[in-house]
Amino acid sequence: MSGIEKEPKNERAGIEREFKRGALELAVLHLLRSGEAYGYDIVSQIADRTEGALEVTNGTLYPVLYRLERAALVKVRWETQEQGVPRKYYVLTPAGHRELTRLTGEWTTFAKAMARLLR
Amino acid sequence: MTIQSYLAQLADAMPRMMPEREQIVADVRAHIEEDMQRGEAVDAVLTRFGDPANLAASYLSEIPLVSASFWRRAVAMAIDIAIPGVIAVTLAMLAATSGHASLDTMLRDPAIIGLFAVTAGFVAYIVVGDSRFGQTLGKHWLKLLVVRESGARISVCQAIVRLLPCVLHIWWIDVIFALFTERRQRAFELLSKTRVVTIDPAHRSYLEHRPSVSLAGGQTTQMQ
Repeated sequence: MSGIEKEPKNERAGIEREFKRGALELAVLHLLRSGEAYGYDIVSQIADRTEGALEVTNGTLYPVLYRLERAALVKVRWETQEQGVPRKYYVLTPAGHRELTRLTGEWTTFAKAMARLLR
Repeated sequence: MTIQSYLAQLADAMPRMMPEREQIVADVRAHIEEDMQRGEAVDAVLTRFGDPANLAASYLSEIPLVSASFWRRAVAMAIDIAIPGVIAVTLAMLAATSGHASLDTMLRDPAIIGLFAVTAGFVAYIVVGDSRFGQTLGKHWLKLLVVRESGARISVCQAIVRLLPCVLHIWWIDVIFALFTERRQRAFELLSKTRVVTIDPAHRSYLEHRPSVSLAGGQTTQMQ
């Protein structure tokens, strides 16, 4: 019985996770459109520009950046700071620009459809 | 907690032979050092990264997992059982021809003792190999890895459950499931929430540049 009750909860959590992941991926690609940024910078910018509505932790952002890097949607540039610790900057690639256009289109269509539905 | 112990726990949550393991640890290390530059306390920085096991799971969920083919797995298993199998059969034949008068004399027979030792050794080899390294020699040569459904390292208990069909002599029923399940999982793999994936770059590369998460009702293609 517990297994039967557990399934919809897991499914809902999975959908929610995928939705947030998709939104975060779009947010990151969009932020990088205007220029390169490093991890903490991205976290701060998302928090500032969404006025805290989209709360992103390091634990959620860095795996997404890792995937974007593996998928060649972003590339990495290392810059050594004065203190000697290199900083990892993320730069959007041409493939990343195309992906951003695709995701923006999907998101806009989805958001408009939901707005119409909820009107 | 120190940065080293945090990174050690992060690494420990991933199978040792997973190709991306070192890369992920290096990535997290770089981000931690980056955050430390701002003069924050280690604890505050590590708290923002969260539990190392959860962080490992988040990273692993971004890596495409490709289920290993049935025949590839069969070859790996054949390699693993070849040497202990030959020894066990030889010892069993020796024991059968010895003609024991009682259970007591039978249990003192070196062939029987050897048979138990080989069986115990084989079980230990599979359990330690799968839980510690994510693979045995057969799987290593065939570029296969045993992981949790999330991609994380399996526990000793999960490794034991995976081996139960052999111990219970129902392996042939268990194996049939791998022919029909979506991720080619055996029945006891479904039960232990584990799977066997390929780490052969030739099999995984096509998923690397797959489309991103779809926002308009599509399913993610990340996991096969």
